[in-house]
Order: sequence, then structure tokens, then C-alpha cells
Amino acid sequence: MLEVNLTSQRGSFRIEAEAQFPNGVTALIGPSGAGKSSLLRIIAGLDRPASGSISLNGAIWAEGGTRRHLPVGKRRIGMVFQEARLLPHRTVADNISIGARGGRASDAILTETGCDALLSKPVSGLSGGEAQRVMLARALAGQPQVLLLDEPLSALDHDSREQVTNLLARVLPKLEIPVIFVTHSFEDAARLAGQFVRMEAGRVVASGAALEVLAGQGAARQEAAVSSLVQGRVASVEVSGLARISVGNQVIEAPAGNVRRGQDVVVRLWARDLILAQGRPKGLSARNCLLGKIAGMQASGPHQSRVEVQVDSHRVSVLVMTRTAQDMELREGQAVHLVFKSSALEVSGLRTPDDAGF
Amino acid sequence: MNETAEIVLLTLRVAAVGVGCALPVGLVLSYVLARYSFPGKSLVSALTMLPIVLPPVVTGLVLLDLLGPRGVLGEFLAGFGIVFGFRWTGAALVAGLVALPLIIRPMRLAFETVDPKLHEALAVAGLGRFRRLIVLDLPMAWPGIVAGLVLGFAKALGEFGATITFVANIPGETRTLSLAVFTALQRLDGTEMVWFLASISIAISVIAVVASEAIVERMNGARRRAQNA
Repeated sequence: MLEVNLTSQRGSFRIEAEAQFPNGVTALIGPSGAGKSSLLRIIAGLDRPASGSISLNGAIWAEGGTRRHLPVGKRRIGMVFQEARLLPHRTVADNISIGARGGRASDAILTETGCDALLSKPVSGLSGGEAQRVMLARALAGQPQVLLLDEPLSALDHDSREQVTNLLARVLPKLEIPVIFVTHSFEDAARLAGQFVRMEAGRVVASGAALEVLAGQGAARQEAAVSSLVQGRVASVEVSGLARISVGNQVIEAPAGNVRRGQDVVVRLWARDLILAQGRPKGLSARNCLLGKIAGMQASGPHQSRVEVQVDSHRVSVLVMTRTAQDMELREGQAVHLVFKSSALEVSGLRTPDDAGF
Repeated sequence: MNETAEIVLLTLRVAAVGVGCALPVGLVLSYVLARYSFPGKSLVSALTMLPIVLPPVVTGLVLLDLLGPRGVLGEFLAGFGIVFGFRWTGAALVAGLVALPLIIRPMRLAFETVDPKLHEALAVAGLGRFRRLIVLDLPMAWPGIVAGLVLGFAKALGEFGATITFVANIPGETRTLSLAVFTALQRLDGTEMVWFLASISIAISVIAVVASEAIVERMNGARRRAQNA
């Protein structure tokens, strides 16, 4: 268990973070500038905390305000950055062996990451995806106590991103160490992580395994960025590219992406994209209509209201103009239909125990 | 030995020993100035440039007062058998000193181009400062190091003012090519000798610069071939 309880001040930006990272993958999520990468730098030992401490399994790595600071090279950390930070004048084999801390990378790591076929290649000849695979192999070669992944997918093109995501989905579940995965992507977080820590404006605002943490509900966020997550199971995938997803006894149609029949998935509904209707509308191009009941209403800005709609076991937020809510005479307990387009949805397969079996 | 050959060999020896001694100093200073921030960094940076902006005669004068036979340090060092005043070793010291700014400048620029993010990544991977210097900084900065060496060597070959002030113009001991040209100029019948020696001086300088360009180009070519393989 990696535990952080610290503050840090860099210029006018302050970080206050208290979080636990157990063995397994924890997604560190939050908007740009939330302090995710800064926290990772402090954990790695590249920056020092102003106060508080970092500890791994009870052993203190750093304590702010004291001279207690385990040097970066002695923390046995594997780290993959957003961009490939490899020695451009060396081969892949050289770059991986640098991470092995005097030893050599095991054949299993080289095979698993697909680097065994790249060993003699110069680094400059690698594609973006290959370079990130080499970075991962280097990070694992030193048998790290903690693995830090700082947005390793964000600089990749679509195909490379898919390859590296699949690689991470294969490799990460096998690691019995704390893995912190910084990402902006809800899909990547849902697919790869079992725990979530959300940061906003330098603070940890939520943590845990609940999907609400991933959705950012309850956090002080801009209303335009409010979303809800609905969990379901893929009933079928049509040749048209749409997946029919069962949510309770209702069905959502969404772009299938990489999900497969029978898979548990999570669907993200953006509050700004949802329409409320008092009766089931007809003749609309929008393919989805979920029946729910208004569970609560509150003002959200001078002219806007946030309506909470209960759909089976899920609470879905909807943003409407206050005048609209008055005209429709919306009230708690009222049955309403949520209408939305398939293309407005984000769907991600949930991490399942099967993933670890690859 | 032919007098001209003696002058050329002495000049090469003075320049080579001077630059050879200045190289480790230049490497350390350029690396520290490129990689670290510390109080007084601007002052240290300015001091390293001093030999190139100070009038050479003043440089020679300062050295004479410090390290000459009656200099503060000169008398002390003489007790250990180390003598610079009016010796070729003094000429080498001057050569190294005036070459230092030209050695440091390109090396510092080369070290500054090494991405600090690569340093961080290697530090996380467990590499200490010295290993990072070996596997990252030196290979990446190599062309700048060669350029600094050649520029410094060329400067050392042509040093005149500080040398003649500090170690005088003693045939066979401190009379390098530049001083020999100056000596020949003083003679009414020395025109031919002046141009002969000047031609040798030009030839050595040109060969040094061309050789360094060839070395750098070859290294860059090898790197490009490795990257495109």
C-alpha cells in the first residue's frame, strides 16, 4: 500500500493530497491542471513535499519539512511518461537494460511487451506505440515496487493507442504492486483500473472503487462537465455498429466500439446532452429513451437547474433551463423520459476477472 | 633539429598540453553551468569568459605577478619544483587559459541541449549522476565537446600577447610560431621568414579546423545511419 498525505507548493499552485494506493491499478483522474502529474513527480521523488509524508508498506519515503527523503533512484519505481523518454543514440536493448538496475530484463517481460522483436532496433526508428512498449519494458525490468503511468496513451494515434491499451490490460492485472495510472480518459480508467482517485484544483476530492468517483459526481465541478455513469450489460452487437445494452429492464443503443456481447460495460451520459420529456416522444432521430422518476432538483447557476432522475438503480443528472423546468412543471416523484442520441454516449468495457487471465 | 621544425613542434606541444589541461576543467565548468543553478552562477560564467575579453598583455601581467619567479604563488610552487616563469610550461598554461572560454562555450551549449526530461527518466530508473553523465550527457554533447577542443586548440596555437608578457620570447623554450613571426618581423631581412612561418601557422590552423569538421560530420553521419537503420 502506497500512502500519501502531503502538501506541496510550486509558485501559486498548491497540492493537498491524502490518498491510499493499494496493490492493483488505481486511476488518478481529473481535469488538466488538477495536479495529477505533480503528485506523481512527488511520489517518484523528483520533487519534495512541503509537509506530510509518503510511505510504502509503512516505510517512509519522504517527510516534508525534514531531511528525510529517499533519493529518486532508490525508490525502485518504474515510470512511463506521456512521451517516450529513451536514449536516442542507443538501441532498444540498451534502453531496456538501463532500467534493469544492474541485472537484465526477464525474457517474460520482453515477450509480454513485444520488445523481444525490437531489441536490436535503434530507438529513433520506433513508432509511438513501440516506444511506449519499450518504456513499459524498461519500467518493469527493474522489478519496481511501484509503477507510475503518467498519461502513457495520450500522445499516441488511434491504432497505437489501442495496441498499448491492450498491452496494459494484459500486463497490469498481473502486477502485485501499487500501479498509479494518470489519465483523462474515462474509458481507459474504467477498463484498466479497479480503484479511482479524483483530483481537482490540487486536491484529492474523491477516491474509492465506486463509479461515482470516476464520473466526478459530488465534486465541485463546472456544471457543463457533469456526467453520470450507468452500468449495463451488452445484450447484442449489431452489424450497424450499435451495441444494445441492457440497463435494468430497459435498453440503450450506443456505438459498440470494442465491447462484446455479454460484457459488463459502463455508459457515460453527459448532463448537457440529455433531454427530458413528459411522454415518450415519437418521430425523433434520437434512438434512446429511458423512463425514470425525478428524484431531486436544484438550481445550478442563475438560469439553469440540475434535475436528478432515478433510472433503476442509477441516478442521472440532467441540465435544463430553469424556465423550462417551470414551464414543464417538473417536480419530485414525476415520471419523465430521458431522451438522447446514441452518438452522444461513451461506452467502456469494465475490467473483469477474465482480463487477468491473458 | 631544423629551427623551423623546432618552433612548430614547440608550438604544437604548448598548445596540446595547454588544451589537454584545460579540457577537464572546461568539461566540469561547462557541465556545471549547463545543468545546475546556484548562487553566483552568473559571476562564475562571467569569470570563465574573462580571458577572452581581457587585453592579453593584462592577462600576462597578472600571471607574471602571480606565477612568475617573484610571484606570490610562483615562489611557493618553485619550492616543489614547479616553475612556470620563462618556461614552455608557462606558455602552455597561458595557452590553456586563453583557450578555456572557447572550450567552455560550445560544450556548455551542447550540454544545455540535452533534454532534462531524459535526466529525470534515467534518475527514476536508478541511474546516478555519474552514470547519467556517461550514458546520456557525453554521447549527446560529443560534437560540442569536439568543437570546443578544436576552437580552443586553434586559439592556443595563435596565442601571443599574454605569452610574451608572461614567459618572454626565448628561443627553444617559449618562442612559439606567433612569437617567431613577431621576431622575424623585427628583422629588416625577415619578410620571407615572416611569410614562411605565417603560412605554417595558417596551415596548422586550417588542418585542425577541417579535421574537427570531418570528425563531427563523421560522428553525426554515424548517428544518422544508426537512427535510420
